[in-house]
Amino acid sequence: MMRLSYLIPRLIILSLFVLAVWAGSDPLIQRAVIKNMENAIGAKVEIAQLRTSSNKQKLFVKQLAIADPRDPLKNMIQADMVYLELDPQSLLERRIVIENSQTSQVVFNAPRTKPGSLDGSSSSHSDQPSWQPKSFEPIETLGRRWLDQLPISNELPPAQNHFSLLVTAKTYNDFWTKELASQKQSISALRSRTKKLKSVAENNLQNPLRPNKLDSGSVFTEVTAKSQLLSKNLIELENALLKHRTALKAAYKNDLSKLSQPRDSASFDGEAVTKLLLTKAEEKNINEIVEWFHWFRSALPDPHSDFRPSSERGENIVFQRANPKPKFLIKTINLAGEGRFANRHASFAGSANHLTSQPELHDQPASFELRAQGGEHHIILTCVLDRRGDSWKDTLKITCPDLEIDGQQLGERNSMLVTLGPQSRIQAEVDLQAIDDQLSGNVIFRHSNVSLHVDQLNDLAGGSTAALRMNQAIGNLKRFETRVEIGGTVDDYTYKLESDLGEQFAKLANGALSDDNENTERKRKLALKQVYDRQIEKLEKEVIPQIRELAQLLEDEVYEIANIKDIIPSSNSRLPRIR
Amino acid sequence: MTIFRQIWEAFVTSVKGFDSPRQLALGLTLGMMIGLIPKDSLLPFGIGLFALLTNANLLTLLVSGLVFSSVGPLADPITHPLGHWVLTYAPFEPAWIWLCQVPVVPWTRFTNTVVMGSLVLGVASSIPVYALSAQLFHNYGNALLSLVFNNRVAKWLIGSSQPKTQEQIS
Repeated sequence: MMRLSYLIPRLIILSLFVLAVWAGSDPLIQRAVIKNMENAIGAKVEIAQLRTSSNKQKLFVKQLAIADPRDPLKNMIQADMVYLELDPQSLLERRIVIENSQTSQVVFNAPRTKPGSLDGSSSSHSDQPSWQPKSFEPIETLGRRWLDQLPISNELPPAQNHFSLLVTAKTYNDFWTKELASQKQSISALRSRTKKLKSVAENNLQNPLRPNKLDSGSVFTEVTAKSQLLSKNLIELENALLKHRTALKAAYKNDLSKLSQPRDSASFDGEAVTKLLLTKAEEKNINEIVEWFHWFRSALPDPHSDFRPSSERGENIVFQRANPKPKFLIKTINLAGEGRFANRHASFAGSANHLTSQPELHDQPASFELRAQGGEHHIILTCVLDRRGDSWKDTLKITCPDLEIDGQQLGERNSMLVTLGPQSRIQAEVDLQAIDDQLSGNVIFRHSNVSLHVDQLNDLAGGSTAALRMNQAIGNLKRFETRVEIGGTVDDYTYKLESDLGEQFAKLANGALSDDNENTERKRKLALKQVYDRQIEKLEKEVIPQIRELAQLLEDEVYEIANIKDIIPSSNSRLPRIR
Repeated sequence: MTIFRQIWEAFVTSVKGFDSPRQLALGLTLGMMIGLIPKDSLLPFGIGLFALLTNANLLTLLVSGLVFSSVGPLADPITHPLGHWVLTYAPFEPAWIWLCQVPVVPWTRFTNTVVMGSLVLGVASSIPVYALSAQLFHNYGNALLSLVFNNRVAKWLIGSSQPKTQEQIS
């Protein structure tokens, strides 16, 4: 039997040991937690204070900061207060399973004053460059391309001074003025000549001894020839009159057909308008969404590559048939904090679930469920990060039931600049998937209560006059939907934009411009008809009477010349010429 | 005060040890096992508890534990492959799987190759070490005890009384 002198010191040692463990458990656990987490993550873990409940199942941690193993100058996560509820059964199996936890004042990626690497260096472990928003084509290029694609038929109907009727009318008016004056002058000259011839002939007849020096025979011949020429000219004028009528009619018909020519009313192509107006605005949104996705994906470190566990003596053999489970698992951690969502400051609450250092041994993927609220704005975000298999399968779903957005300018100053007025609302649905780095998914934005105003429009597209008419029409555009298909990789993604904004905008704008064109066409046809009628009237009331008058004058002269012809032979034959 | 004095004397007596070479050898052997096994396992603490339940000499246990703890990592090149072989030896696998599922046992970290190798090495060498050290203590115990206790520090710590000799015990 063991003697008392054996027993007492052993009991004392045991009691002291138990007492030390019981009294100093909190600092011991704090030290153990820090050491184990540092070993697992490979970066500094700081805990200001740790307290346990009497049954050691609940932990209260004050000022927790876990440095980012990829960037020692940042904290992966820090929180003012963390309350952890441990699963006792798992503790017996040497697994730390946090059934539930609460946090307050959570901040992600907060900067550190001292490097968080275990060796004290501040150099980053990560070789990958940090994610940068993707930049696509500059808006000026989009604007230029939009202008380039405007169809030629978009030209307005020909200006009034370009009508061929007017040109024809002016040409013939000048012709008539000149020709009629010339004819009149010629007939007057013929008349005076005829008159002279007549007086000479009569004089010769009365006094044959004193014959006039003028050779009445040759003058007569000249006058006759002249009258015949004038007659011929008058006939030509009459022909010209007919030609003029025909030309006017042809020009009028030609101009009418020009005005009536079917014009392509699609001055604005829907797809091109969508590209011009929405590309930059939606690009910004998509960049932000992909950045969120990228952030979530990088927020969860890859235990295989990011963690740098401290070197351990030996190797831990995992028996697959023993159904191994993760050594560290947070089933639910409730998060509450503040951040920026959709360019707005918002408070958020939610949970991160199934976070583990050995995802391949767990039956659930890690997930984040967050609800951000700022004023009336409400965003629900679910991100699932499945790292259990050989490839990463991550999804991001964001639902934004109703978000009021600030006014913004769409398009580009040198082509078309449109203001999207404030108080328009947006409903967004985001569904992105990534398998390893391959990104796919779609984003739907539903805009409502929209007010659009065309601020600037390039002259090629109609300029300020067209903008004014378009503004009257696009006031009816109150809602539109944009669908974005995303592809490529997470770091280098591509997207395809589809929206009914362009179609609606183009339809309304083209309608307004088309109505305007019809009015202009009607007015111009009317004006053209007036010009034609006036020209015809002018021909009938001014030119034709003048031609008739000239013809009458010429006829009188011909009659007069015929009379003179009777006188001239007798006067010449009365006496022989004295030689 | 009497009770505390009695307790202190009993403690000092236990540290001074009983002069049995077997008890000294047992302390040294258990200390060796504690020293060899990495301390982030529950096994050293279990062995320590077991040592407290025996009449092993606590001083030799303590000294042996400290010495082997410092030289333990030097044995990793032997203990790691040894533990790896034991843990991956197919006939033993069902036993390890079963042990994995027994509560508290995983805290021993027996699935670590160095822990398992150290345990196997400690257990395997315990009998030769025990026998050898018992013989050594038998032959040189008195001289060793005199060397240990006949100095000012020891006297100040545990008093001036000389430990019992082998003959006195027997």
